[in-house]
Amino acid sequence: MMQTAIFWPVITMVGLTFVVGLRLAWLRVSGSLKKPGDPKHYNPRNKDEAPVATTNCSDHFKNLFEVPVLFYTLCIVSYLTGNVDYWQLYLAWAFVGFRLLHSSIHLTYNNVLHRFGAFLLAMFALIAMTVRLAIGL
Amino acid sequence: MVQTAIFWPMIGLALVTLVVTLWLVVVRIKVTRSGDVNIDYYTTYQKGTEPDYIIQATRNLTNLFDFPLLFYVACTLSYLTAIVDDTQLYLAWGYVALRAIHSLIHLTYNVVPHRLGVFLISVAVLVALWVRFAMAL
Repeated sequence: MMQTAIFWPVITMVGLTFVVGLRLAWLRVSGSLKKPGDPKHYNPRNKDEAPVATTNCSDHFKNLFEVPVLFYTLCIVSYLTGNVDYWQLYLAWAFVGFRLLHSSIHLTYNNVLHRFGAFLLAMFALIAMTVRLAIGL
Repeated sequence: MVQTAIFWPMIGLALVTLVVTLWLVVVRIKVTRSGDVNIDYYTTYQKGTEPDYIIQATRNLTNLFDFPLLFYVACTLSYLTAIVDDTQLYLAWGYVALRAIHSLIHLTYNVVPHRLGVFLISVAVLVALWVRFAMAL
């Protein structure tokens, strides 16, 4: 098993983060161009002042630096300890798949229950990866 | 190429983070002692507010735990897979310099278009670091 294979789900997750980050920058720039001189669009403390699409995107961008950071750590440790096998790889791709779904829901129709479902499934994949790594140590 | 060379820009960015943290601690102690901000504000961060320059510094510190985390991961992975070369090193130092300027703008005169410009260039540099890593895999 090529141990570096675990880095492709990592790269995909990072790619998703760039896409969401740049979308947020775009929403903020275009939003403030519509209201020149109004800096409130940059301040998430004034949630009622910014369009809901912008605050959702801003919330989501933050989320991408919560659980996914554990995912990066797990992948790196799995690589370092030679624990990358098909199970770990499939679980890593499952995590990325569910997080892609989670992002798509949050940035579009944003049904909280659907989003929660995708979040939980990603979480389960991550827990399974952690257990799998702990067993392999 | 000495692979550990990539750790110096990582240490550089960690230092930027440390400086912003310490600065924030100092100004918060200052405004609390002068009575400009009631210490109860820090129980939930919901009641009352802080002066703008402290809100900006707080935002900047939060930002230092967004994209920069992907920078630490990119550098670690570049080291682990031994792909650190001059280009990767220059890109990493470029990223650190841009983030230092970004923090400096945010903590001082804070003109949004300047900050946005520096931020966007730093994201482009970070994307380049990741693309070079992916291509070397």
